[in-house]
Amino acid sequence: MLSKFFLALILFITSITYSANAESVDSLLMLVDTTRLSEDQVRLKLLIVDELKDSDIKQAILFAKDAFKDAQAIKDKNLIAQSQLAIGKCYNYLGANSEALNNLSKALTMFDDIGDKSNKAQTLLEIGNIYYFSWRFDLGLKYYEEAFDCGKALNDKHIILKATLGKGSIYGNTNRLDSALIIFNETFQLAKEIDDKQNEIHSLYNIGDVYRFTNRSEKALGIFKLIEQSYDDIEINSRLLTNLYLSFTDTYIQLSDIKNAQRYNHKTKEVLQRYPNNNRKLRYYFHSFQIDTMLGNPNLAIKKHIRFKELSDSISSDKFNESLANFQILYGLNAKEEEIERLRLDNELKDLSLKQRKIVIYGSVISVFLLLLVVFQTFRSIKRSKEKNRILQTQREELAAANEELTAINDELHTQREELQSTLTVLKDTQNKLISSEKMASLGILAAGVAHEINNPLNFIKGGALAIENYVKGNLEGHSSEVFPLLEIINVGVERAAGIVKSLNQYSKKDDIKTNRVIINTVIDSCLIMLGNELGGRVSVRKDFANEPLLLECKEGKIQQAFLNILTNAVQSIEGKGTIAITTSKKNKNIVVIIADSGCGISEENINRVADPFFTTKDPGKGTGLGLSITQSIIEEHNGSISFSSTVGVGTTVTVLLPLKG
Amino acid sequence: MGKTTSVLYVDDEPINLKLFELNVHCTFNVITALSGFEGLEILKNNPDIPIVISDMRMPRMDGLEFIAKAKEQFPNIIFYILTGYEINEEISEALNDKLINKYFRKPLDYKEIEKSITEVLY
Repeated sequence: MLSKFFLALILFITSITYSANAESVDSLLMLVDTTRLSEDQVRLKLLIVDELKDSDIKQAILFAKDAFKDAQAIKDKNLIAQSQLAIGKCYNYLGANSEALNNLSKALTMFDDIGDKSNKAQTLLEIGNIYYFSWRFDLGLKYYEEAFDCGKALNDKHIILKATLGKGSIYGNTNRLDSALIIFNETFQLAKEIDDKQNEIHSLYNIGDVYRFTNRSEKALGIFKLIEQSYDDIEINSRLLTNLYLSFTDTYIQLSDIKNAQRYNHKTKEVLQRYPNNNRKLRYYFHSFQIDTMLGNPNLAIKKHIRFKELSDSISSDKFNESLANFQILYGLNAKEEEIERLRLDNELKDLSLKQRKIVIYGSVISVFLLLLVVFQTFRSIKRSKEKNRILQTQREELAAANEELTAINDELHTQREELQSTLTVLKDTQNKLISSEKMASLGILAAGVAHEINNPLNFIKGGALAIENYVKGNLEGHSSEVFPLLEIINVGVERAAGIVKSLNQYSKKDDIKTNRVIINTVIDSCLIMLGNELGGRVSVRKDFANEPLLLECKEGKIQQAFLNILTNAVQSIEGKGTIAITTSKKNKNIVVIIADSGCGISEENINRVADPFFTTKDPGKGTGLGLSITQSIIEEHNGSISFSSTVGVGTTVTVLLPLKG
Repeated sequence: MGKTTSVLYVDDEPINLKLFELNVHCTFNVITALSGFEGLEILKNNPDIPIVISDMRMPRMDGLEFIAKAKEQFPNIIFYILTGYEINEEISEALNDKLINKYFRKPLDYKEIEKSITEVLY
């Protein structure tokens, strides 16, 4: 999950950050006249919505709704649709997708009705964005394409640009990276043409990010540098600037250029201090962790990773809080609406009572009639108000249910993440084991084939040498002192080659050999007897064997071969006098055999390679480098494991685990 | 002993046949065959051959197949097998069933072979 988060493309759709200008909002607010209903007033309110969207979304949405009501009152279809578009945009900003869609789809129908293509395209783009941000790329693409068609029909390059950028971002997120590249190149040209600096930079950045994402690091770097050199910091908005530095850092890390990675990581930190954002901060921590790891500062790296983890955990809860807050805003809005509605009803009532008084003067019959009407109206209003309250209550309950659901989903996601992480660990482990056993199996097949093919030519050489020896003995007795040493050399060569071939044969898994039960102590004892000569008086063996008979179900010859190899290595590692300590014991359902020698030891760089085929530190002809490799494959064939630990000059300890029978 | 004893050696490699002849001809009268089929033919014509040595891996009919067929017709002959591999289940079964007397590994140790045969015969 983590890696997916970091690999995800961070593409921009359209520039959605405007700097809210407090002064202009204030001056606009001065112009608002609540008593007047006119097209201009609606337009004014819509303008205020646009200005307020970034600074006070709550206020913005109220103005949008107000504009909507006024537009309805003056029955201006175009303004009704525009207000709904504005409301939809505000909800979209809040992440309230269903409300946003609801309003936008109504606006869309109306723009269609009145044939306002330009606003229709804006609405389509907005709907496309909703789907894009909720990762429903197929639907998003459909709307972007429709918006694109509208833009084409109108020849409105701004719309075409935004729709194309949207399409490219969807391609970029659905693995059609080459298409995305072509599209971003187009949008870049188009943005340049219509002098849209923001989207020009966005297109370039997206191109660079696609390169970064597809590991074309040098190209990505070229693009990022181009952005940095060609545009001022002011032209690049804070969100993009941070992402640019993050992508710079990531690319340098890809290229293992630590110095530059560090430089841009520092720049990221500076921008983040000015414009804090948790998601980007998370990436920054991760980069710091990677850099410290590359620099070989494990302590610092661990600290960075801890911060990264803490922040990542808090972000998941922050995200939850954010959605809660958004719900609260929505809830607050509904309450406000209710209040306005009530005030209106109050006013209506007041008006009615005024009229009532006048009517009393004109005629009691009419007044009684009117009174009845008023009573009726009042009852209706109260009823309506009650109805409103009921709806509000249901909405409140729905919101509470939605909150609960969100909490549940969050919990579930957490559990899933943990499960996935543990599965990943298990998978990696299994993969390593598989690779190792696969290696051994193919080596076995190869070895068996090679063994036979090499033994025949070896037979030629050995037989030929013997024939020559016999011939010299019979016919050239005088030459024997010169010829025989040469024949001896040939024979030594043949023996050595045959020895290697013989060892190779050990790899071939012969599953048909029957298994039998043996006591581990007996196996080791018979190995020691075989080694008798080698041990001589110089190596003393200390045995600390388990008292109970530990049974092992195995191919006896092979297991014996395995322990013989380990013991031979132990003996050979000891120069002069020394000791070998052998311990056998039971742990859980395993037999544990520990063989510790006081020999020369194995260096740190070699310890991981001792079980590699043909790895040896012995002189030529003294060892084939196959012993421990064969031992390992035998132990693994028996579902056991072998591990080595060693200190140079002190000795080596080999630990073998084998499954206990019974 | 001496050259009165005939030994049939079966191997699909002519060089191996030549070398075997060269290296044990002082001790035994060596007859060679390039395949199990040829070996069976020779045995039919020379039923008094007491010793047969055959390579294990040969095309069409391998050493043990040849020996099994020959043993049926000539139960008194003593058989040996040569192999480039380690001992395997097939060979150990043949040893248990007394189909073969012993197996020799390639490259051949001619002295060991001479010694084994001599021990068995005398």
